[in-house]
Amino acid sequence: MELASVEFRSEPGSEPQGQLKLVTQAGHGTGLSFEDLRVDPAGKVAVDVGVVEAPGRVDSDSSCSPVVNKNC
Amino acid sequence: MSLGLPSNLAAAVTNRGLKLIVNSSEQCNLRCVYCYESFTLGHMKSDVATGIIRFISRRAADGLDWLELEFFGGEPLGAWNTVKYLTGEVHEICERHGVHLIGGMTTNATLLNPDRLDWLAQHGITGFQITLDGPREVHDARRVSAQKTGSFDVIWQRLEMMRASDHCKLDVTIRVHFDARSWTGLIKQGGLLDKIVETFLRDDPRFKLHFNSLNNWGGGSGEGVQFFASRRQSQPALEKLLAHIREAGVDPSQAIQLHEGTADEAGYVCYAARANAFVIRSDGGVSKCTVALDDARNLVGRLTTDGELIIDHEPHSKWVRGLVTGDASALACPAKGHVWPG
Repeated sequence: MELASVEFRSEPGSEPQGQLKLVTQAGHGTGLSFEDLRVDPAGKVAVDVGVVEAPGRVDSDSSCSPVVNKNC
Repeated sequence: MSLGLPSNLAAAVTNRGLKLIVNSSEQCNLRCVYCYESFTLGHMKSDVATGIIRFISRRAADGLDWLELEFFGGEPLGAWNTVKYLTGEVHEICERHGVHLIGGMTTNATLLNPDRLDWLAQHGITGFQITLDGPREVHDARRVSAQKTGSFDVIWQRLEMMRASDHCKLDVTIRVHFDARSWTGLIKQGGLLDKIVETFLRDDPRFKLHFNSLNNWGGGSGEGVQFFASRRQSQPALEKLLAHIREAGVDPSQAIQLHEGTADEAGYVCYAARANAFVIRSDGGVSKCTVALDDARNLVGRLTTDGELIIDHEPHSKWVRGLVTGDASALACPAKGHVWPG
């Protein structure tokens, strides 16, 4: 997402010589789309990412609700 | 197909894994002064439990590699018969289909007894998170029963019961809450932290320690609690707490915060941001976050008695947006910028 853009001019009122855009990290994207993440009645997401290693007990570091999140 | 996703994102999307947080009861026998829950839904209905079993059974037969099953509430043990039914069935299903079961429970532990602990541990529920709010006088002023009595002694006894058990796979996280005033009392010589370390952590790797600052989540009276204004403001106190247990010789394997420090960790994906993780409410509603339980935006679907998970794509997309954008903040806490200010 673009947050701001700045145009460069040699002097006020002249033609822009360049532009700097400030974007959020979100602008990079992951390659996944929202359609990829659609969940069917079996609880499966549309995209298949193949074999993934099972997690350890990752939630023992939780910090918001006991189940999990470390940020709230 | 291969998207070349980093492992943390792939684990949040894959159909090889599934995380279910099951609110077996949304009623609680305690009334902690800062609790954000409204306790309106009560115990889980039997048809919801049936739906969970059918849902898991179908997925297990369809190539599931691992299942993360976490009980939450309210107080999950308040509905013991439901917990016993679900754990017995799920354990059998996972055994039959070769699914790796990673089971846990967030409990105040007051309703835990040796028979229940044995049952749970024997059926794959080995992870427990149990909270203390400080030494007895602090804890008992905050974590009170509905009858206004304290709970420190009974929780401590339950922890000792777990310590004495021979279940080698137990993984008990003692969660210690602190606020802007109470943290100094925790690090006194011979204070609560020293007692926890000596009683539970020393020579027993099954026990772990985790610190959490109390935040005002908008529920309860908050009486006697001096909340930090922000998480950032709690960091210096957290650093002191970690320094104390480090000096006490706690192994970093027993306190993950000693590993990661106190800074926000890049790459952390909250369960609520995952596309393969769901909270099953006691009435069969499906949510994403266990904190914003009363927020309508957190209701993203329902589980039917037949075991079908009906997810409304539009509200669900808001929670999993970080998987598309890659935004670290939306992955770490998707509630921020959605149901809470960003």
